[in-house]
Amino acid sequence: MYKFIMIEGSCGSPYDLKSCESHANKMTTEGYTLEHVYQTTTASCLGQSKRVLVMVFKKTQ
Amino acid sequence: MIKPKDLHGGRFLWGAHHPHCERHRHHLIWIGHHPFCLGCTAMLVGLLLGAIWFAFFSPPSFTLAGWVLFHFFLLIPTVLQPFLQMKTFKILSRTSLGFCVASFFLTGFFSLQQPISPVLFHIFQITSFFLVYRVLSGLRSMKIDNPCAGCPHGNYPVCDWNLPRLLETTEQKEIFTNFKRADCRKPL
Repeated sequence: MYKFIMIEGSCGSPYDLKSCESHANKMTTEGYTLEHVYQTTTASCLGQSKRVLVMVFKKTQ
Repeated sequence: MIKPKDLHGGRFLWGAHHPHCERHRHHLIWIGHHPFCLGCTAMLVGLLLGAIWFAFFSPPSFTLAGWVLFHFFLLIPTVLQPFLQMKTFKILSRTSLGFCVASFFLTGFFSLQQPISPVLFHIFQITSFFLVYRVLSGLRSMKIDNPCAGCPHGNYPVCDWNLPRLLETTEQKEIFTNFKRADCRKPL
């Protein structure tokens, strides 16, 4: 069983690492382990871009 | 150590700047079968119209006060647009903004009778452009329209609507095939 956590950044504004860390820790206490991390950068208006990080957790058997 | 991988199917279509789903329809303009960002396209049209107006229709010779008022008038739809989220009004406001930018620089540089030295005037012109840009951006961010907020399909790119694209690769298929909206959390 998977759980997904999505974190948004933006051009010149990195991901909130504190939020990533606290969610990873919380998921671990709930019995999930981080299995995959995906990221994508999307073009936005006026030449800007937006970043999205997708953390994929899997239930530990 | 887990290294981030590129999310296949996470990018927007070229020039769209938004997901091309139904909830984002007022952010998009379709040309043929391809969606384009409505704001950027309308602004580009406005810039072109402003340049054509300047090049072929001899703009009036403005006094400084008239020039400032004329460009403030062109900005009115942009000031109102965050509060009036209608597609036709957005087209009007972005076209007017593009026209304003083209006219502001072209008439300011080439046809306005400047009351002070040209160098000082251009410093004033560029500074005021960035000040107005900051004010308008601030106003827009106060009333940002995010169609993904509250969407029953989830937040792009990990949403039900985008799922077919996420499932295009074998590796992602294994992970996202059992994707359920309830399994996706977006932190505050």
